[in-house]
Amino acid sequence: MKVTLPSVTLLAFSAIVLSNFNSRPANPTTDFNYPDGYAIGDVAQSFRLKNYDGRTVGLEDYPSAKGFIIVFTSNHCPYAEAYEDRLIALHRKFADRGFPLIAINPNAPEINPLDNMEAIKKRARLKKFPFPYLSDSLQQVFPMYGADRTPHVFVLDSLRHVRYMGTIDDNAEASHKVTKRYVEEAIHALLEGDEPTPSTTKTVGCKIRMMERRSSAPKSIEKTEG
Amino acid sequence: MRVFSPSTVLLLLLCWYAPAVQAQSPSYKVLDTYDDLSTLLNRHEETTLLVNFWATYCAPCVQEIPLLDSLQQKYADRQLKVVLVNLDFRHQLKQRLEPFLEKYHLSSKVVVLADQDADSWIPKVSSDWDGGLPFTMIVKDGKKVPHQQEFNSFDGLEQFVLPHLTPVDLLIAKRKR
Repeated sequence: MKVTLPSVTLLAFSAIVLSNFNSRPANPTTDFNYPDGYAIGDVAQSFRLKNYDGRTVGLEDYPSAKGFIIVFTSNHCPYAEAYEDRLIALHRKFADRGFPLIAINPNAPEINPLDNMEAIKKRARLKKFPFPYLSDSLQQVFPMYGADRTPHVFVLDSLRHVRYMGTIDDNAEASHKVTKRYVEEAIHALLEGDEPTPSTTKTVGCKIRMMERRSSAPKSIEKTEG
Repeated sequence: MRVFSPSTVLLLLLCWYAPAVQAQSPSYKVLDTYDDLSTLLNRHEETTLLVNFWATYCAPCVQEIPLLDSLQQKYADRQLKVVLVNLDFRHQLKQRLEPFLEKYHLSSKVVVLADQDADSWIPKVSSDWDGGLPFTMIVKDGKKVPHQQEFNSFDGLEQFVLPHLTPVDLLIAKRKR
């Protein structure tokens, strides 16, 4: 039997696709389409994560939302703490206008117990968060988004396209000295039908540390996706 | 009759000085803007600077500080100057940075960069830096060599820095002049 080159290629391709499919875990650690995290314009995936009040929350729970302010934050990082009141203010200002805020703690409690669900509950109740504060303790959501520190903000539009990524404003330490309100300005732009400028900013904060996983499944995906 | 022997005087002087020395808080300078840091970094023309950005809340940063400081001690006579740029909040320096400095007694220069507009100054430090801590770079002859990760061993750090130090023979020649 003669084996043609196209058939070999096809066979190899389907083998890769199949092996990919088989080794892909139920919850990938990165978005299948964007292995390095999101860039502006990418379509963000939804998630279902446990909230501090026991419910699970996902983007589908907000059918009338025009977008979202997704904030990866934590319980003990000085930068995250410094922004807590400003997160509350952002939610109060924009939830009614279609942009609710969802806070996600991306840290693994195994690395720092100050990020476990008990601590998340305590923080949310102490600060009376008017928005969900979810635990990504299995670290399946923050790698999809490509968040790398707390706090790290992603503003999505109604189609879940990422339209702004980065920091909240230009003065973490002193809210009264802020001159550039990046997230607010991004949402104003979206409400006006404009492009947020800037659409990305650099941010200082606390690095999100990834737990080392025993499973090799996510690694094999990274290899085949290259 | 002598009332005080010289050794008694010395002892008294020591007693008088000792509490003053102990009470002295570790020294660091607070820089209000990135321009102040830039001026500081451009001042040392003939020196190799190892500039490290860190904060007390950053665990890997805190782990590598003793390595960086050992390097400062080992290569002080090779015109190496380690500059530790701390990014803690200004209002938390007493509670966070000062106890740290009291514990470690560092030989390296410590400055606090209080400029909060990180998005504006991070790209000026290095276009290769995304803002993650720690971040280290060598500054020599107006050139910058970045290192994004923390150093896990003294050897690794030494390998990074050694090629950028002033050669020993050049130093000796300069000193003879």
